[in-house]
Amino acid sequence: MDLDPQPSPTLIVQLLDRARGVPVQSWHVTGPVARIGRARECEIPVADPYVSRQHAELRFGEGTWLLVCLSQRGVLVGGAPVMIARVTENLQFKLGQAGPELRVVPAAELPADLPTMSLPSLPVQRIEIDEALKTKEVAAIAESDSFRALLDKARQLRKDRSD
Amino acid sequence: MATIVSVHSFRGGTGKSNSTANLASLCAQQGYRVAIVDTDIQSPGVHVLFGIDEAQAPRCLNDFLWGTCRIDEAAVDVTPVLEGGVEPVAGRLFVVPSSIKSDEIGRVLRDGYDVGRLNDGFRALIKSLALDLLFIDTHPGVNEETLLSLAISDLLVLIMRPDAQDYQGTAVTLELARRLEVPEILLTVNKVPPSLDAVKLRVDVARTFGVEVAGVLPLNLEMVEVASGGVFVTRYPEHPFTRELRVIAGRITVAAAPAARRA
Ligand SMILES: Nc1ncnc2c1ncn2[C@@H]1O[C@H](COP(=O)(O)OP(=O)(O)O)[C@@H](O)[C@H]1O
Ligand SMILES: [Mg+2]
Repeated sequence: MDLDPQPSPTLIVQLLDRARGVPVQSWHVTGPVARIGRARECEIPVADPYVSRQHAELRFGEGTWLLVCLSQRGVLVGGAPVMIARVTENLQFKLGQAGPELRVVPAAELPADLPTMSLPSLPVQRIEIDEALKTKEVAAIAESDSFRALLDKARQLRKDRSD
Repeated sequence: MATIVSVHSFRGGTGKSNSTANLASLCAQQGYRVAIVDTDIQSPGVHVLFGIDEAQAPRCLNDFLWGTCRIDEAAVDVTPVLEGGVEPVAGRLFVVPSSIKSDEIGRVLRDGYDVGRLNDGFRALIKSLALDLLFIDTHPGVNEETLLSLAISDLLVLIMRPDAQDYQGTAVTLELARRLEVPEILLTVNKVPPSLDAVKLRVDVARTFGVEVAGVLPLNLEMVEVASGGVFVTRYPEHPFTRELRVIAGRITVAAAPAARRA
């Protein structure tokens, strides 16, 4: 899948300390996509038991950064769950009801000595289907007696309706 | 002869209920007599979009399944909801909601119900409301009710997100639908983030799944704002998202039997 050809403006994301709300870590995100989650392979890894392995995503496209929720635990902005939000400077969001807060910071505010990282551009994503697994899963359902009975019934019903 | 359209996705939260409500509304605006049956008894969603509450719908699909009412007694005429839109509504739209009472949901999970009765219900509803199109909002995944809905459909609209988690399950469902000899199958990709190239995605999906892609719908910020508080196409009749949905609705009505065409 193609990614947005426009260069994305750098985004600075801070993880806030739960008790005091002060930044404890930050990341430079240059896009086009940065995943936030407990999984190590996330571009913004957050080691917290209340955070899903892939909890949210920052994506750049059509000139704007978006925050996209990927987790059933939700992403909260101002206490309200959001599925996607336009990223604005100073946007503060929480990873689930019980998770930590993060903030997008205006670049000027950021001290120069914080640890940062930038992202390589992502490889082209491909749609992949495991054909062997598919065959197995289909067979498990389609070779049952109830499936055959259903097919017979469906054929009969279609015939009745077109007569 | 009415056309039965099942709307299905392998995973929940994909946009089945919203797509069903919007497509059915567009068909009604085009002059068809349309009904939606919410068969997602475990996680009903359609009633919310039309603002149906208990006072308006004292009976629901569950009552029919338990044998305590006729199915048309559970149908709510929601045509007035569509009349807030710009276009006058030439057709009619009915909704048969599922119960939102948690004890009812528990009962279905515990006792199950006769899926054959569901089929009888669809036929009775088509007849008593003189329907052209019947949309079935299904439960995600593959279970007995879902397979029944697929089996008796003239058209299946499969919805998936551009997400690795959706691809495998969608491929399996598609194959099962083919084996059930569903006459027509359309795939729709929903919640496509702006960073993806929609044209390339469409081509890749069509090639990989070997099926017609009826539409590629973007992640829609206004839809998030509307949340589940209304039918998008009636609120935003000129929105590009509505235009894209209108193309899919057009495709569905093409699939509908010529005899059903009134518009
Ligand atoms: N294209 C879209 N863009 C943004 N939000 C969407 C889109 N389609 C659906 N949604 C939202 O996703 C959520 C789940 O949709 P819903 O129709 O209830 O899914 P399902 O019936 O498959 O569980 C809802 O909050 C809905 O507003
Ligand atoms: Mg639903």
